[in-house]
Amino acid sequence: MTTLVFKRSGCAAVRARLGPYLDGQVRGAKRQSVEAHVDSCGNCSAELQRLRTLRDELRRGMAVSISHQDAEQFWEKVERRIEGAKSTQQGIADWVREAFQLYPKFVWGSAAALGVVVAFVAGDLLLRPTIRPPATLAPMNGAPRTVIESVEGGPNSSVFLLSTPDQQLKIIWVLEQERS
Amino acid sequence: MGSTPERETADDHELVQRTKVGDRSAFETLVRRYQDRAYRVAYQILLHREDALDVAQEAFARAYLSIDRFRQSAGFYTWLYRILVNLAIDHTRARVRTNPLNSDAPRSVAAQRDVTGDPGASLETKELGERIARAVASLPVHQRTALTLREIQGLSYEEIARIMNCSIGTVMSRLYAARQKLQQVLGDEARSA
Repeated sequence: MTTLVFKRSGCAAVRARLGPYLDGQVRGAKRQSVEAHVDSCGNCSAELQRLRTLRDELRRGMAVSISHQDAEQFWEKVERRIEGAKSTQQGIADWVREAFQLYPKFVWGSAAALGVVVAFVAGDLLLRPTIRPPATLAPMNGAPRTVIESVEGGPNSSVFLLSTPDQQLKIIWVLEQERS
Repeated sequence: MGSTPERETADDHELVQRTKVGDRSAFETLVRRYQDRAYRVAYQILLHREDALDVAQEAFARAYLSIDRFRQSAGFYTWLYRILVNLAIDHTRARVRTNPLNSDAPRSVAAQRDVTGDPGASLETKELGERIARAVASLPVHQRTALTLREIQGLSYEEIARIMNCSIGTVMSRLYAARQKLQQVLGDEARSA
């Protein structure tokens, strides 16, 4: 059971609780305090009555029903969708199986080519050299404490954003590969 | 509300188990049990009869196809409503994308209601229904969904939060905002009449 917490006081607190109160979501001492306040406050009592009327009107006004004809055909249409989805899955499986039987060299060749491309991309991502500087540079000879906020690396350069919290200084440090 | 789903969860559990081992008639029973409620939820989110039927049927089909992943920690209807609400909200977003001028509230809500309305209903009830439908159509889709799950389905805040994948505080604020807006819209309408 979840406990609802309200942080306002007086009429504002009670009004925020009136909806949950009508919905049966306010219980115990809180429910009693709402009831006690509503009994003694004309404005909150009128607001509760307005909410009650709205609820009754909504329940009557929103109560649409499925038509008899639609209800009769409902299951049949659901079943048709189930069969349709299953036959699509089956169709893809059959197509793959048939392709393997009719054109095995082409299918295996395509799969191998795809595997090479995936391996190449994955290898490039995994083996790309990355510069990992220490998160914090230790102060040397009274130099200010320096924190590395971010590092962004490209193929030929890396950009470091450093800051010195004590002096509120930001340093942008660009390391670029020398062009020959 | 009249028929709370809680009464049926024990039986639902057995029907779900039978569905999992391939008994499609068990799932048919679940569909027939919840089709009206699912349609009502979808209708109040989409405010369009055909779209509501479409989304409700799709939700049941998806529930069937992924029933093996349903762990039964919550009731079947909570799980079903979650699929349904997600589909319906996605549908309203797609509708906005294809027709940005239309927002998420469809045209001629009152006219749509006549299609599904009870022909025996009194004139007063029909007028009330049309007034409410216009006011509800003016709400943002998440407020409308929370309001439907509360007022039409009679679900608790915790169930609504689980279905809408949000906190109970968010449910409370959506319901509060929805009721404030409805009071304002219905009040304005009554004054201008």
